[in-house]
Amino acid sequence: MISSLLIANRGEIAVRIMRTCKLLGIHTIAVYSDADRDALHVAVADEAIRIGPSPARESYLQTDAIMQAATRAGADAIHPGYGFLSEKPDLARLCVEEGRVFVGPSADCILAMGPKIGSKLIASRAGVPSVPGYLGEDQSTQRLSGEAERIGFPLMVKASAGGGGKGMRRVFQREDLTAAIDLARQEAQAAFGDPSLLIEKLVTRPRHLEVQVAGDKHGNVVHLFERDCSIQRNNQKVLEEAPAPNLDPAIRVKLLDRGVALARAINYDNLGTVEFILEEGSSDPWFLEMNTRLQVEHPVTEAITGFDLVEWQIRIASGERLPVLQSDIRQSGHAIEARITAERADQDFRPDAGRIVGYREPPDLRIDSGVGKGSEVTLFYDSLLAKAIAVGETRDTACTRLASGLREFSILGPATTIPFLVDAVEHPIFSQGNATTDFIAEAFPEGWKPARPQVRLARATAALLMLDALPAHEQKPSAWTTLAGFRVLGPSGGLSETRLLAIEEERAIALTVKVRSDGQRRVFDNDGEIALEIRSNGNTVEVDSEGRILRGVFERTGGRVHLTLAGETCDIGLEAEAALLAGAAAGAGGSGAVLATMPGVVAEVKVSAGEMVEVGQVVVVLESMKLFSSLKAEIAGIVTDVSCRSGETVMVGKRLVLIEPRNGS
Amino acid sequence: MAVLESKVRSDPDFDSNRVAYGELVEVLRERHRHVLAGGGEKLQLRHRERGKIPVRERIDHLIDPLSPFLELSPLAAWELYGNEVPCAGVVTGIGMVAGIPCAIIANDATVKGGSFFQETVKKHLRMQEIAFENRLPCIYLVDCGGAYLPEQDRVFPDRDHFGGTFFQQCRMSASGLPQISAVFGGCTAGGAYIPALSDEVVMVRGTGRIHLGGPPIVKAAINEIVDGETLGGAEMHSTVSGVSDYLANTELEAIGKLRDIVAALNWREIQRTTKREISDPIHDPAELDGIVGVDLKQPFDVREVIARMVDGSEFQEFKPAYGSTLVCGFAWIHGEPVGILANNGVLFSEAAVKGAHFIELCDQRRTPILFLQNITGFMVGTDAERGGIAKHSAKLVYAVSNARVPRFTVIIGGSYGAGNYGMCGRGFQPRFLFAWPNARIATMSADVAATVVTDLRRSSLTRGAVQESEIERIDKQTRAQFEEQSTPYYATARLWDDGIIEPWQTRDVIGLCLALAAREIDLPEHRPVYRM
Repeated sequence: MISSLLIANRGEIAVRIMRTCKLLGIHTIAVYSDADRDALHVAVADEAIRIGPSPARESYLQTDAIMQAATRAGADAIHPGYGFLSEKPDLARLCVEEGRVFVGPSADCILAMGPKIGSKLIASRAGVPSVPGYLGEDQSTQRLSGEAERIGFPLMVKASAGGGGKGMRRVFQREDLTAAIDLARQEAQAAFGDPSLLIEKLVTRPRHLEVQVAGDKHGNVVHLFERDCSIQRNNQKVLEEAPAPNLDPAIRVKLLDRGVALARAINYDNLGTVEFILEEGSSDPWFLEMNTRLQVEHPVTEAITGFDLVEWQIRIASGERLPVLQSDIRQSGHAIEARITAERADQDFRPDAGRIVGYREPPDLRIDSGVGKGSEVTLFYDSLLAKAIAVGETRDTACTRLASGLREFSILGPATTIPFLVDAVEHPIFSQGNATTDFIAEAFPEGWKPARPQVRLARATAALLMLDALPAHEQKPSAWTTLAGFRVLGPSGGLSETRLLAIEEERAIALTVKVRSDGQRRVFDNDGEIALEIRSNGNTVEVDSEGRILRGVFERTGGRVHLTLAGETCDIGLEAEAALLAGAAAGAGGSGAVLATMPGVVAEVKVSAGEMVEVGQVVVVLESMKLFSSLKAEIAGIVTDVSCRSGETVMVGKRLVLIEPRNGS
Repeated sequence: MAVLESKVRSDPDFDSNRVAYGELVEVLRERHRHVLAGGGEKLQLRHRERGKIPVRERIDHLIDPLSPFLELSPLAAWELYGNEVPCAGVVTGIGMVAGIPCAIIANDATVKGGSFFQETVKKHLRMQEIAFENRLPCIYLVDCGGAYLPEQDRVFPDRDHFGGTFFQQCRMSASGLPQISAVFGGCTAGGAYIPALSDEVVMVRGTGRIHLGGPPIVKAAINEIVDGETLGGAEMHSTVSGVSDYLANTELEAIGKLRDIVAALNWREIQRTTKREISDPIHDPAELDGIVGVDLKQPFDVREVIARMVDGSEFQEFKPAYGSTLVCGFAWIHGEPVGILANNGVLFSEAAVKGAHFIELCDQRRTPILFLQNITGFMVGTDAERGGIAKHSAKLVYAVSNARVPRFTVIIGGSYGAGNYGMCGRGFQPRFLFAWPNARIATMSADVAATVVTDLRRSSLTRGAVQESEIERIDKQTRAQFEEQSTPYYATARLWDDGIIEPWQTRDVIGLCLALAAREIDLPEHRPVYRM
């Protein structure tokens, strides 16, 4: 067997592969770009080699750099992981040429399954039907239109060389076809340098099913059952599970047979996945494509079969036979995986970035993670941070465990999809096992928004945690640091009041913390008191809100508190009002006070307190001497006070609006 | 160390004491509430409408979030000037700014425009004195109209009048204590020197003004007609004259700037005493009302008071079997070491020399001293005089006067006659002096005074024979005078103390004071202890 392995990948999959290597006693070699110098996969590897600057095309996608790294480190073998170079036949071929083991299928297999059209033709010859469509070489608009008529609407026009949704158009009626073909061609040319298109029937409310197959270099092929990966957004999988729920046994047999048939047809010699699509109401799974690599969602298969698929990959690549016969492969229980990405699920899954300031995994789930506390999440790579895998005897148990585990999973810093995943797992469509690839649109027709039932409580907790950590409290304790908010006149009502601004995304929320004479702290916002008491210990906090006790995990960085409380994640900048303003004065880039330039009448007030304004934005229109003058914001920030109203007569120099600069501006 | 045991039980005496003391506390709170309102709701509202922040809110913004503020003499000028000058128009106290304890002197413009009465000056000077002694940077939140002219003879000319405040500012600056001002309102004439004599000055645009002579005086003196903003506005002083160092657009911005200034002071704090871990007293301070009661003639064991004031109720009592009317011993309050002298009856010679001995111990060991005063005086009578009470009590007064360690006094009952001297009354300049609402301070009690004065009248040779009706009148008059003048409110209104505190606050207040003092105890040499 191989003794040293270079993993030509990053993130969670690199870490996951290394874990198996450690068990097998294989020396691990990581590769890294400049952005990943301090990444987790570099830290857990036995050694690591720099392969280039941060952009993937200059590092992880550089076959030469990978091969040089392998030479430099003396690696016996290369594991490509998924994505990046995993399905590029070059890497597999170069490995063979240089006498290294490529942990993956032969270049021939990769080549065979690479092209969308070619792979479907092979499948067809193997008796595996694909989605009805046209894959021909005649790319004339006339021919394409004719084929479209034959297939019927709705249909999809796709780039032959494509992937990831580029060059893909849905056509619902005949009239739109020509325009769609033109646009798809342009996009295909731009994205892939190849204008070739294919046409496919648009399958409505389909399920995405896939078969995990494994073959060796001795002609053996087995399957490790199926997975259901129907929950997708932007054509990327979000939740995956095994086995597929509510699947007719007859269909399952058909599915598994077809997967194995295709793998056999190409003499497949490693781990791979044959993807199918099953239209609602249909009993005929259609071949979609084959992924000639390890899948992101392989852990669910591991969970129900008990095998280590990375170990299989390594053994097969080393020339070993499949460790078991098909009849020895059994499944038990149910496993679900949730992909946790650094994305704003409430903003159409826009990627987010930043440093992870706090990180705590739940105890009862398998977590495959590529990050930890202190990891920097950049926009250079895929936004996948970690995968959470729950296992249960039944699907219901697995669902429950996944949801509660996700609630406990605290990743503080960039926004993650955890709150969305919890909602998705708990949605009846999913929990009843009836999801199709339209799940997100059907479950969250208005787009997913966090319910945030505990947002005020979280904000108040953050405020108290912030106050706990003020520099004064870190000095050697004396009455000056321990008698929080003491006032001689306290018992007479002269209470200590601390005014903070909680800055969340686009809003600033004013909070007042009063200290009662018995030392208890009370938090108020504009809606009144937020009843709570907190106890913190290290990075955990217990919040008692009128007898209801919630637990959270937090991290403080600079003027910010990052907090996960009862599944609610918030990231709040907190500043004493006065401190915020002193910074503004130091900037000297303009005044936050918008003053009346002339005596006159306020014609219009265009902003309200709490609103964000940009430099040059008109905040008040003043009428004077029959002239209207627009008073503009000199600084960008948050409107904290509007001290005039429309129709009011004001003297020159009166402050009409006060803007507090945003942190750091 | 020995933990004080408490014999206090809830019995009818205890319960009735609590009720009676509760009424005293309610009076205090009512009065505090009155002064918290400053110049009243209407003026507060107008103040806010002008974009100005009320004085205590300014302080809340200035000091570190959730830090303590040790406010001093909130009832200064109480019942003086028709009770129309709450707080004497100035809020003073100690607060943490950027982790540094600072003296804060803040005018309340809603009270007579923030102008200076005699008590305003006294309070201002007292805060400066405390700052000097405890080495605190001074922050002036200036919003004042100078001397209150109808009272100018009691504000301006004398040694401890307005000029003294500037003298102190200069001297403090020279001794390395930063003097920092923020100008929120007009500073005319004398008032101009508060910022002008400050090391650094922030002015608020639009409302801050500094001029030696305001527009009316300028017109009278040189016939120049000018508006206040042109003459002494914040913008002019920050950009033209250089009187101000920082121009702030709003009051909040000015306060933020003050915080930045203090944060950049390059200030170093040294702790010179050995702190212990802070622990709460075992016995509940809330029980002090039932123990002390309101009747000064009813004695109580002062150890019950100490047990509710010190960390863990632990007390290392010195000479417990000797001179038992003065309880002496070592303890910790909020982690700070302290030597306590507390009255437990009339002072006899033994008690006086024991006290002197104990003060020497504290002085040698650099331990600050806390006096808990509840004293009718030194023992009188033939036995006492023959035993040399005059010289023995003098030893205590000597020791009190010459102790080099910081001293603190709390009047927890009576403070009469020479007892006041022996127990470090105001004349002996303790660092801080606070009183409880049940306190009385006078040369003697009203009873004794009436007896003395009526006897004097009876024995008067010059005024001839006396009618009983006249004696009665004198008796009544004297009683009335002493009763009125010995109340803690009469005292605190005149700045004879640094404020009236609720008994259960004592531990916290003294804890704050001790922590300030702990930074300053650096005695050049040790002194011997003379056994007396």
